[in-house]
Amino acid sequence: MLTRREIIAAAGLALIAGPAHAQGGYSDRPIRILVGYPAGGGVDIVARLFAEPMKAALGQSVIVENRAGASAMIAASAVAKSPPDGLTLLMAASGEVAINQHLYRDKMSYDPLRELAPVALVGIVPCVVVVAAQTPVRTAAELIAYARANRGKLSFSSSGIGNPQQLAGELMNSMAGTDVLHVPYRGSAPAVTDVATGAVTMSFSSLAAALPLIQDGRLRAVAVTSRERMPQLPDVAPLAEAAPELKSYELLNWFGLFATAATPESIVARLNEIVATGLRDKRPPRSSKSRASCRES
Amino acid sequence: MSPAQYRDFVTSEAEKFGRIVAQANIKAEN
Repeated sequence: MLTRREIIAAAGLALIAGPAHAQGGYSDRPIRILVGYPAGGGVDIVARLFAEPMKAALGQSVIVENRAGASAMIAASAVAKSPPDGLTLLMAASGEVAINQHLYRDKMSYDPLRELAPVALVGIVPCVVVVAAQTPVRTAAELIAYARANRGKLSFSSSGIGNPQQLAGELMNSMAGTDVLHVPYRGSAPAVTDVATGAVTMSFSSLAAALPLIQDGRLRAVAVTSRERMPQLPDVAPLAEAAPELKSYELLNWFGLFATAATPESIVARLNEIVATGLRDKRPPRSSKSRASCRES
Repeated sequence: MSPAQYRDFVTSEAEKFGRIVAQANIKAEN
């Protein structure tokens, strides 16, 4: 998993590595990276981190443009409908390219799988499952046992309908045979705060949102949604280890770079190379203080 | 991950998310 710290370091490496003037089949007009979320959010930060090395490598201006709204579909649609010249790119979370088509079939103005060209995966972010400190659950296995013993009585919060956090909870219900009611919130902060107050039993959350409450002892992390443990939470088991029925459980949030479909392969390959250079194995050593890049889009 | 591998990943994830949305009968907010 790529942490924010690693992304910053990787972006710096790409900056050092990149020479050049308008390369890879590009014109010398500015490149725009559209983001479907407000400035300062996780996807926006990643887009800005990669704008600099892209600028250095390609020798032309790279501008990040926030077009927030409509579950990030305004930005995604704009890229889908742009000329396929690599000058209009999308830094996307999984929602606008892999989930929204299942939720907004009649309202979507673009087909993400047909009208967007995947360029590079930038980051993968597991969710963490948290409960209130007084909840009698300390492990992933205990969480599933508790949910099975209290069918129909428990609830989980997420930062909104149809986001990966909700899907993570619903996948647990489906695979484990539990019946934990989803309670959507507008954003991750109230979603985790209401676990601490006891209004909801648990939350599927980004680590970034839950960490302050974990650190002050109000919340307990009891599971993660990746197959592997998170470096930041080495003592917290994956849900996949909680019960035999969950052996194949995994639900990840992720984000990455897209171009318009039919963008020349040479441009897509060059952009992929720039991102890969930034992410490659010259990552700084992880430290116990490093924070996850778990983020709300 | 190459662009082709990334395309396969996105397609696979979209299928998986679609199955979960359908199974849980998740409806979008209006």
